Amino acid sequence: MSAPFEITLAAFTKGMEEAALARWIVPEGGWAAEGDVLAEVETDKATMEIEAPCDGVLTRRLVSCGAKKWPVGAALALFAPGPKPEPGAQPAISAPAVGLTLAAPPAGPSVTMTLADAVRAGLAEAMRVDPRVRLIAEDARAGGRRGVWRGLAAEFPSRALEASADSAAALDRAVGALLAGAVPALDLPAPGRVPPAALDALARRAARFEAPALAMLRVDARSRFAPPAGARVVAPCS
Amino acid sequence: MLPAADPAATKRPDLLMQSDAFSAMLRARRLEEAAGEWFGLGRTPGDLRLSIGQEAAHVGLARALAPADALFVGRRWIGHASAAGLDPADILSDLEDGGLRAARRAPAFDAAEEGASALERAIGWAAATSDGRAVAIAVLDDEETETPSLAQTWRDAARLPVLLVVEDARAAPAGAPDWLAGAAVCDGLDVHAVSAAVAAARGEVAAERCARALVLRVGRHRGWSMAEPDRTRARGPDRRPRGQEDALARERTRLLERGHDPDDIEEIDEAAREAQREAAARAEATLAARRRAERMDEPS
Repeated sequence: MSAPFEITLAAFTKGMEEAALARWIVPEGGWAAEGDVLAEVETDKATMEIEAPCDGVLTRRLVSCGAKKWPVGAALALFAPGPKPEPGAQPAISAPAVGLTLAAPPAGPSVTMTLADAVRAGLAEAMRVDPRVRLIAEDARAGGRRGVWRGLAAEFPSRALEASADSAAALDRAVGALLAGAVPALDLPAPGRVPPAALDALARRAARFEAPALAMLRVDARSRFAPPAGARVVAPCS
Repeated sequence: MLPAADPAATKRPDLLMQSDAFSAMLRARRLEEAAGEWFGLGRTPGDLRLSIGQEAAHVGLARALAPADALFVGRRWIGHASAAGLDPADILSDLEDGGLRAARRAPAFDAAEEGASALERAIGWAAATSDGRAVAIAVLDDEETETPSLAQTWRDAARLPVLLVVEDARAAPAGAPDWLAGAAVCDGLDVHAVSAAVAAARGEVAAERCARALVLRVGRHRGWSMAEPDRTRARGPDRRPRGQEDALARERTRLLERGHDPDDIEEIDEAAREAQREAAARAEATLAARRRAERMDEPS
């Protein structure tokens, strides 16, 4: 892969002086073929597309989406020309039957992965660092729903705890784990039906004992689900 | 006519131990009575289910636990919280606040809103604890065992160190759910019998690392449900009658029969009342301080 260069904001029309970045299409670390749309910008008159000048990887975003206007000529991203990586050549996560290994280097360009892979990698890292962390999930030992937790039970056999498909019951198990001195990382089975009282019971105990607890809700981005107050929302393309 | 007390006998270790249990039962009774009073005054949000008369279950169970064990109680939790050593002032002030029932992390104690939650929390604790000798105990009343999902929850507990204790006030055990059929049974109105039975069951669970159930045959709880009097009356006839089935009265009689001085018993009773008065005063002070802090936080 060649050294990265800057992708700058070009003047799409005569007289254009500035534009706002509407959204990124390619994530950091993502590969794009020549002509693929990397991002969309909005001028006063139209939405325009920023294309990849050649095959390569968008190594770093230099500006974020929003209403802020960027002047023509501003650097938007760093782009490193190069061929498309072979499948499996540098996987974000190797997920063999036993164990999980983060293959992404600590420094350097970001890697592309699905949200599920990212969440699993993050939790695996947390479990390696902090022996108190317990995964609590439906079918945790079998990899969880849709295999999102695959490999964790093999790497941490005593720390992947089963929960039922009922959200209130799963939250109760997290309360029990919290009182045992563990840090529960709960994969809520049915986010649309989370009983507020059960969530409140976990939150109040975590607050009283000043003990961390994590309740994860995986929600279809197209749904109208309103996250509970205080929830931190992680979007796959943010 | 009560037998005259023998001064030497009152100093015997077994009698001292018995009076210690009696004292703990009295403290649990006085706390439940105070909680009932606060409920009557409209000071506690939601419902409140007491178990006045079941102090033998509270104290006998607490005395059989190992220091590292965890106790998870369903809706009749106040007496158990007292016997487990939680500060009665904290219990009362949390009652008025409503949101968080009694909870302690070491040794673990937790009061759930319903029995199914208590058993789920016990399972979560037993699965997460790193202490290979500790046991999680879940306490439910007989009505809570009728929750349909509980049979599955009990199956989930099968290979975990969980002891399920059911306070059964049914007139006949025929009403018990099928999944409790193999449970051991003991007289729940005798504090010493409860203690021995829980210790034995707990020992099995700790050694075999698998779940066991123990049924305590108790009399009908007084303060069955202070929120649903109509429902309480409707359910009354299938419960065992009150009257002589009072654990505290039974223990008082036992102490007198074994030579305790009636004056000593009165003294223990007065000490429990005084401790409760002092706890209520501290709870009032805590609540007043919280209200002052809330007023200061309000925008002017």
